[in-house]
Amino acid sequence: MRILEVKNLSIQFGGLRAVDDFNLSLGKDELVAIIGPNGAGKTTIFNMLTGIYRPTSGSIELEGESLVGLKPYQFAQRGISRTFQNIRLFSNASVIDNVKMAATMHSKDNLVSSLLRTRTMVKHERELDEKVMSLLEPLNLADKADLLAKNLPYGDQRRLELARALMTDPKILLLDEPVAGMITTEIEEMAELVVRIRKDFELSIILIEHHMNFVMPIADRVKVIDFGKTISEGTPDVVQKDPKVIEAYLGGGYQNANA
Amino acid sequence: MATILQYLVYGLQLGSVYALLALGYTMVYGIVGMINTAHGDFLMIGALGTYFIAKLFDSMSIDGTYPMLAVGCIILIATVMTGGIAVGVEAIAYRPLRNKPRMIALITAVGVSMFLTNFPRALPFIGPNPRPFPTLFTPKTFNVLGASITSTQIIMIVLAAVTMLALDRLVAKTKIGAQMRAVSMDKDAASLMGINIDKVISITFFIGGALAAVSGICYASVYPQVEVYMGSWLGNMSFVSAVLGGIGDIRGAMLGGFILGIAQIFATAINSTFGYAVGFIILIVILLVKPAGIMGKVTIEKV
Amino acid sequence: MKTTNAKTMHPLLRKFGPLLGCIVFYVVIMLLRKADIINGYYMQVMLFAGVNVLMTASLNLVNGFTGQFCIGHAGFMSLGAYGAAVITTMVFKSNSIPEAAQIPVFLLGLLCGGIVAAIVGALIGIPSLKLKGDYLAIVTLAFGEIVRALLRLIQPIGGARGMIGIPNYANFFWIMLFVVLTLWLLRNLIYSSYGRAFIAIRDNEIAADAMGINTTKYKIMSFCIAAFIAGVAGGLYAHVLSFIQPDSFGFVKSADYLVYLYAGGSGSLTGSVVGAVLLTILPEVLRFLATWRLVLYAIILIAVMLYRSEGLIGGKEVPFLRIKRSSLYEQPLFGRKKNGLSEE
Repeated sequence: MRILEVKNLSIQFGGLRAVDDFNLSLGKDELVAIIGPNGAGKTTIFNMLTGIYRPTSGSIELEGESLVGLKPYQFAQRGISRTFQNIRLFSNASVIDNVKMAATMHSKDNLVSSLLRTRTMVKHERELDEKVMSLLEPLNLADKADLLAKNLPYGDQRRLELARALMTDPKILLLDEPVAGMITTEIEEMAELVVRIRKDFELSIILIEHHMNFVMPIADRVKVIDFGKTISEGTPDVVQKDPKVIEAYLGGGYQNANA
Repeated sequence: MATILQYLVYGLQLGSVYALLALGYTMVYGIVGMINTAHGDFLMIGALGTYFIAKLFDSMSIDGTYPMLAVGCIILIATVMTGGIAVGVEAIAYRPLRNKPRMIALITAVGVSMFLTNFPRALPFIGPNPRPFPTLFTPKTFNVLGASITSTQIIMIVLAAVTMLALDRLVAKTKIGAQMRAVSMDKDAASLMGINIDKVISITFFIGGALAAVSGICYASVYPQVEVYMGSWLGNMSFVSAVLGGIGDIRGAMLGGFILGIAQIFATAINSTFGYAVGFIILIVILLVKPAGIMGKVTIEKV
Repeated sequence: MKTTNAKTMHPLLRKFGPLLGCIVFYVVIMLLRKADIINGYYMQVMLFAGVNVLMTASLNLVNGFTGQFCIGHAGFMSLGAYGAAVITTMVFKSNSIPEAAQIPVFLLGLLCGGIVAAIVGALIGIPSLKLKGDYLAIVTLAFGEIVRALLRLIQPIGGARGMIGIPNYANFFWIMLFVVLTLWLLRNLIYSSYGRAFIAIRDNEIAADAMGINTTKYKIMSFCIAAFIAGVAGGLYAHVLSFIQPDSFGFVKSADYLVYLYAGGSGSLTGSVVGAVLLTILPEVLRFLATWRLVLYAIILIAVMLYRSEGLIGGKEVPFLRIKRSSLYEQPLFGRKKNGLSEE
């Protein structure tokens, strides 16, 4: 059973076809990477997969249920969660609250019990606190739980976005350039982290990234996008050797990155 | 028919006051990004200033009318003075808050408005009492299809239209206009490109203040009474006009001003309270249909 | 571990301390009133300060915590004032009902006022909360003015002249009760999943949406709760002053509440209390300046915004108005010591 089936996904802005005929069949626990030059339409694909943009045509099916036309929060409630390329934290809230905010949809408390702060509500809050702390612990954020998100260093902010996305209890996690602007050691740490959460949470992951040495070791499959079109697809080894990819995107860049 | 035409004349007359004021409102919003609730008070300062400057020119008046040259001087001094006050207000109260949340600037503007109204009110030689506005223009009345229209009304309507066109050209074609557009899009980038943001914003406020003064003089010429509270109500209405047309859009401001003026006159003919509310009703309807106003463009936030 | 013991030693005192403080405050004020140290005029200023706290705190929920821009809050207040006044003055003729029934009628009036305001809040909020930022502000401004115009048109409730002869049921006891109750409820709400959803929307609406928060629902909810409180506050106002007219609830009044909110510090209930109380009292203190009073008030306001633009309180909360995560930490740490699950 494939968990996510995306067929013929296209979107048009004015006359521009930003994404043209994108197809993706994601298996359970699979990690697919989408690569391609800047402006190729990768983030636009994510925006369609999370309901921020409505595709002009095509279908998105999560475990057989069509999602096209739903609002972003409904995508999230059905199990697709994401991080953002340009970090979007709740910057004036503390780290722990940032993660708790992502649990809003799982909250068992109604308006009355929240207003009165009943015993059950307090109990739920404590359980939530503990759950969040157990999530922050492996991400090395536990000791920063009470800092404001905006005061965190960059790498911590990226990991906090990850923690927040995990808190929604997703089936599929979309990571939009998770190592953008990071240095080599941080990139390696993030790669380990992604592998670990994939295993621990039994997640299917779609990943957008530029750093080949981040993507290639961890991805099961790679899709290469250029000008909105899929130009190559396959295991990392196959894609790396595809002349079309080398021409369109990798060029000398990949060799340099490896050097 | 003649009655309808007459109302239309009144509507255009009121609309031209709104339009002139709304032009300044919309420029400040478009370029600085703040709702300057004190903008209506610039109108009051312009009108009240004209009253006192005309007093100084009293010796030149004959039977309460002034020679053309004196009228020109009075208007020029009043507009430049109001423009200068607008620049001063921006420099003292708004400039330090430029990078703060918008609501902070709005609250400061409320404070500024309060100050601009209450300071002259507290001054012993001004005070809260309404004063008769001097006759700067002696109106000639024309008869068109049974409706009467005065030369003052024609001047006002033409003035509003000409000012709008001039501003539109200024922003679209001149160097300072290009700088204004740059500042409105991205202040930081504009400043990196060597644009003196403070200067551009000062010029914007000067134009806004001067236009408010002109619109105050127009208003007082047809409703010849000036007092310190006259600005708040007109300011609110011109703000509604600017939003109606699409705030930030110069042509929209004029369109909104005329629509509002005409609608208000016709609605007031039915019921005075309805005349008051009609502007807001039109506003809500238009915003719900076209959230950025008639001429405005909806911007999409990039994710 | 020591700090933990010290903090948990008097759980009863910690829990009921604020309540005790309120009772002491009430008794002291009533004694001062008896001794006529607080005269009737001061008392009325205090009652208005209480009403203003309710208005500012409810506005804070929308503007400060949910990050929306409502600038027509006095419109909801007027709906509540008229709603409550109609119940106590016209439906149940105040002087013809037995004394025992007065309080229930008063409370019923407040409830109705609040409900009317909340329903109208929903009607306004549902279509307009999809508008962003400034445009929402403009719609709420227009809404306030339309309500004012409509109230002027309805002759049975006095039209532009307003309503007179409203019984002055709202004494210090009721005002204080409603202020304390509202602040307590609002605090609870803010430190719950609802409050977190509001703050998430304020801080980053797109991310909130992507994290499964139904932003429209929570925005409308925040708007309606605020409208309800404003309606109750309006009802109290009517029963303090005994007289209401549509023009008392114009943009000037809405602007007052915005000023209280942002001068006190938005996003902080403490800020709302401080802003509303200080700025209600300030013009009274400045009364000796006669016509220069509002000039000085304006200068103070501008100075506060220029030199303390986060507001006087600036996002902080007094202990009673915040909830610490006592389950895991006894103190907010801010890098003081490593505090994790393992410590427990």
